[in-house]
Amino acid sequence: MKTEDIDILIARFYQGETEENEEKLLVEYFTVDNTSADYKTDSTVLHSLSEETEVPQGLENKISSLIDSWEEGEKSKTEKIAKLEFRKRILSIAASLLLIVSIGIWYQYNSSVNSEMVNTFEDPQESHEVVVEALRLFSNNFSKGTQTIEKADNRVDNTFKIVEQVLSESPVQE
Amino acid sequence: MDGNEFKSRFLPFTKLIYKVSFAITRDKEDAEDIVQEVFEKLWKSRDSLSSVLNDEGYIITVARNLALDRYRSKTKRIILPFAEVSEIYEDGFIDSKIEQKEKLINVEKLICTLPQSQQTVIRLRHFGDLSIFQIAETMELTQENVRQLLSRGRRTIKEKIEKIYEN
Repeated sequence: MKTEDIDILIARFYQGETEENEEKLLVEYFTVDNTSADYKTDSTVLHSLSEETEVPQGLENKISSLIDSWEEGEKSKTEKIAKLEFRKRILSIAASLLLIVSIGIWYQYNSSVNSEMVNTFEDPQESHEVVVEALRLFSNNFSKGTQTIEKADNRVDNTFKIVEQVLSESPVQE
Repeated sequence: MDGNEFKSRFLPFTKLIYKVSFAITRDKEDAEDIVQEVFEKLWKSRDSLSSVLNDEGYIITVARNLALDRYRSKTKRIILPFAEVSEIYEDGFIDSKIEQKEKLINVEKLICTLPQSQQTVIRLRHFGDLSIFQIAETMELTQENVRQLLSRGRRTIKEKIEKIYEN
């Protein structure tokens, strides 16, 4: 490569106009020719900036394994969440059933208590005794009622007798 | 998106991510960590990545941002004052391969003294092997802007090295 061409490329390099292949040409030139003192600084700059980056071997495999482990981790996490959700659903269904059954039992219990109050006795003897007791109570109350009526009736009779007596004793004024 | 789909779409970018990360952090372990972080980020948001039209541009941007965050957190450790950098060059021009490596490290320190945008462009172009177009896309600049930043950065490095040689 001619010195003029090198000068042009170097000028373009410092103006930020060189392409990758042109910069490679420059680096190769300075590596092979070891350059004169005129290009000492340019050679240093170009060599320093043209360092090839070595990518660690197996980096892609390492990342690939990491992705696998993340995916595996997410799957097991999802499964755990699904199990928890399932348990929650089962528990909520069980709780709902328990509530429904409780309400049912409570309702049935209340109904049976009411029906006990309304219905007749299953035991005829007991029923008979209750009926006799009720009739006795009724009879007592009825007797009390008739006694009062009899007293009132007697009083009315006595009153009539007194009135008749007074009328018979007093003279008749015509 | 399942694992296989994800791999076939993003795994081919592993080297690119590493190069971009290494270009900025200049640390192999950090670069590997960033590759992992980028993939973790992509994996977590994989269901919303269907709207991404340019995978390469998107990935470079994610890698660059993560690398810059890490780089900034370590900047105090890396940056040397210019006087200190000059001392490293006092012995003059060095030719052997080992010395060449040493020289490279020192130019790296010179890059650290550049404004952030110039640093990023220089690193992505030279150490990340990104094209002007790719850099422009990820930094949301025009290609002309990228070339200008590249030009200023290269000139500044040259000037600083010349000063060191003069001393």
